[in-house]
Amino acid sequence: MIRSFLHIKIMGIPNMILAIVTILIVLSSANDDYILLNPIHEELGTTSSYQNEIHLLDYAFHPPQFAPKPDSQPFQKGSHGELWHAERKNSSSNKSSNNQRYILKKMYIHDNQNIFNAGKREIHHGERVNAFYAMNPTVQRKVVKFVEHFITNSTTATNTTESFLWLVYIEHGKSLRDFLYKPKLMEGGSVMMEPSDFWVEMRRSAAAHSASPPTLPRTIPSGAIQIPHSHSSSKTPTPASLLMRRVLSQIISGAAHLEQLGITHRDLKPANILCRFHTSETSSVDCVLGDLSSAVDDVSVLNFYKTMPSQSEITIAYAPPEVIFGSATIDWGGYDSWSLGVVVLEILLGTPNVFSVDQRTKTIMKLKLGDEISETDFEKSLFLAALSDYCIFDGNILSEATTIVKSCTLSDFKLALLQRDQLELGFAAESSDELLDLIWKLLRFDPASRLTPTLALSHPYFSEAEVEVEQCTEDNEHLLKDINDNDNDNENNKALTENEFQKTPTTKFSIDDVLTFTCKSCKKKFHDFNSCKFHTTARNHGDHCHYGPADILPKCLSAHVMLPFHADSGYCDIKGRREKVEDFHSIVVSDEMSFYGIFDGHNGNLCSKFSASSLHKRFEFSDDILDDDEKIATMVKSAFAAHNEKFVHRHGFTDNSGSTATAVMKVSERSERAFWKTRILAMKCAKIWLQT
Amino acid sequence: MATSTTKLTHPNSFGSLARSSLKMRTISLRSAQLRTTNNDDEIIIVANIGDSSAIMVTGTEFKVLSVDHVVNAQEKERVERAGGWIENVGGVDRVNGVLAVTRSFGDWGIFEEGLVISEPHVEIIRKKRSKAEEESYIIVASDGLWDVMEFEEAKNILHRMLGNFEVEEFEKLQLASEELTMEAFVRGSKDNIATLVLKV
Repeated sequence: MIRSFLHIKIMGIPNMILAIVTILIVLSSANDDYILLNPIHEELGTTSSYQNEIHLLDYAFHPPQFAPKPDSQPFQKGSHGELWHAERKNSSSNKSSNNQRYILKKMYIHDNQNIFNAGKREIHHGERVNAFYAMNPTVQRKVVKFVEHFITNSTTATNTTESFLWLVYIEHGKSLRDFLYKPKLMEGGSVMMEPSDFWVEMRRSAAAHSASPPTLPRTIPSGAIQIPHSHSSSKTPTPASLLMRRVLSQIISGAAHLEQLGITHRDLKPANILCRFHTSETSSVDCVLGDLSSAVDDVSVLNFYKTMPSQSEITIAYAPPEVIFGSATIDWGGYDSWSLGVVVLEILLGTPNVFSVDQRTKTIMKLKLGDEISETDFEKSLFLAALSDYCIFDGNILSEATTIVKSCTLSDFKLALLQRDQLELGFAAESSDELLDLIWKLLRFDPASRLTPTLALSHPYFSEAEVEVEQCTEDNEHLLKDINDNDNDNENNKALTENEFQKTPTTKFSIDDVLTFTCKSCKKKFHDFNSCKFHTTARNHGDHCHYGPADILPKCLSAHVMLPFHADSGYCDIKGRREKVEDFHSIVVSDEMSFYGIFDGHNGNLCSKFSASSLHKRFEFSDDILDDDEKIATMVKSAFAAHNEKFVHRHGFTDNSGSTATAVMKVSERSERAFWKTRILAMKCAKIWLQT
Repeated sequence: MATSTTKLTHPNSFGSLARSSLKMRTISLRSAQLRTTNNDDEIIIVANIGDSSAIMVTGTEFKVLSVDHVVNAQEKERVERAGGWIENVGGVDRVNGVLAVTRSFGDWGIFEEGLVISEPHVEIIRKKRSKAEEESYIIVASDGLWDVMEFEEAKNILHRMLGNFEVEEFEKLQLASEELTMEAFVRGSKDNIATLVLKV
């Protein structure tokens, strides 16, 4: 039997000092000892014997021997386990695993079956992932490498036996969370997380780069890492945006690999994404997904969960709405896509609470809902409110309880982002439209329509540049420059922006060349409307001409989304022969009133959009004015004035756009239920929808 | 009762699975809505600035509910009194030679105070729901539609769609709005077109 002796150096990490401690573990490298363990996942799926821990107990016959040095500490310690950094002693071990560092995860399995199960899941999924990469050697590994596991026992002073499951991973840098945030000591000793210098620099350098000649960013806290800096012209995509693109493509690749394996990660978040920056002129980054302890696949869902996978293994902030609203049966598809969307949003916004709502809305909702619903339901309401802010929560689900239905365009989404932009830099630098479109498509409310990780990789955001960026080294910086210049040729991007976001009917030919008008009576054909109309009128051939072909006609940009629930109205708009959409509408149905508005913008669409989204909020139909037309008219006029003031106050200094407005309001004379109640109803509807 | 409340079922024409399951889910919600619309009077308020006109169609009649705030005698006088002037640019009379509408939201920093205002024209209609009055419809559209279509024509198109027995009741107004929009488009409208149709 061949045994290699390994040293494990354990490093206390919190203070970043490599406290080197030597421990000895005896691990076997590919020999008989492993036979009991290697097929672990095969056994697991087929027998229930694993549940009795037979195999793991067998392993306990030859536990690795190791002893941490007295001073050493895990770099993370919780109630269920510890994380250790480690290094193998390089003595007799083969290959060039020089200085390969490891992460050891120690799990307290003696008194907690759930923890043990979590460990089993990690082993199972880890080995499946290893098999995947072994079979696809050309695929770059984007999921952390699981190496090994073993169990140790110890006896405490009170003579009880403690068992620990140790999982060994290749060390893969710090978590994305550590890159994004830094702890800030608050008064009273509590610790808050705030955006890290790294994040701030990344955003700043992106913005600065796009506006003016680049400034060399400072180094980030860990010392060695510099924000990549390119020497190309200021018009090229910023290094920071390239960095962003690379990070995202790698994270999504990892999720795509899991997807191919039929594994749903279920806990994708910055804390579980591990990144390492290679410092060089054109520095590169290498990110992998970690922590498969919450994941599910066909085997683990049956064997390694006590009953069913539940919310206890996941992080609510990254869970999709179907989980939040407690859908009974979840098809895991779309789960990871949502989490990815949240992560991307988080990287952009620099806050772990991307779905926060502003304090004012919170207070109002609290006042209106507070005593009627439970705390968790209130949280859910806030979540929904945030989703509708982002235009993610679409009216289809809401039925007639919809509080607001507006033309959701990418710009609405952008606006919501801008309102949450801490640094107020905007997102122009991150080649934003494609990126935002990607996020938007990941964050679809309906799980089935979310972009899967695999499909996300072929999103235009990753097109061209990314492929080359992958290979970008010092040697081919010229290549990078070429790509940058290419990217700079914005024609393509623009076309895409228009097509994707404004759903423009793309016609290479002029529609007017192919349109035909047909007289309904005599079937005579005409090439323009007026000739046909002249014909029908002169011959008394009816009052209209049939036109076609139907498939070349533009589609409504935003047809009525409340059908069939709200059959009392219909809506259609098209861009027509204009370059831009400046017409917006709103249909707001509440118990208090029904509001319908058309807003035709000029000099841009900010004003018309703003009006479509908020004019209806300015009206107060209190019972005491409803009997008097004069009073109603006065209220309506002052509401218009207040709205105009609001817009000018908010955007007037930076925006010259304007808008017409035609509002139709339907009010019942006795209106008792408050507008905000619809939010509860909306939530209930979402529940119903999700459960059917 | 008006005939339009009769439910027409054409399982083949609109029997898509998605749609019918959608309907199934909302049965309870629909009844909830019915409860809240009681027999109280209904007040319809139409307020507008600019030229996105609105008409109400009742039976064979229509009534214009909005007032177009474009350069006309009255608005010209108001603008000039406020210190502005009217100039024809590109074939259209414009405030200070710039803006074709005389009232709007926004447009900040372009005009002096009080030149282009946001005071709306307000129209109030009271309807007795209990009396089973003839149903009325309101069409609101941006000038992209009204540039190429008379009110009368819009009314006729609406009637044509309402009388179409091949489509389900709940879709009629949606299809009417689509029809109006497309008709305006094929007639050569140069602008964005947005059309809203509602039953009151």
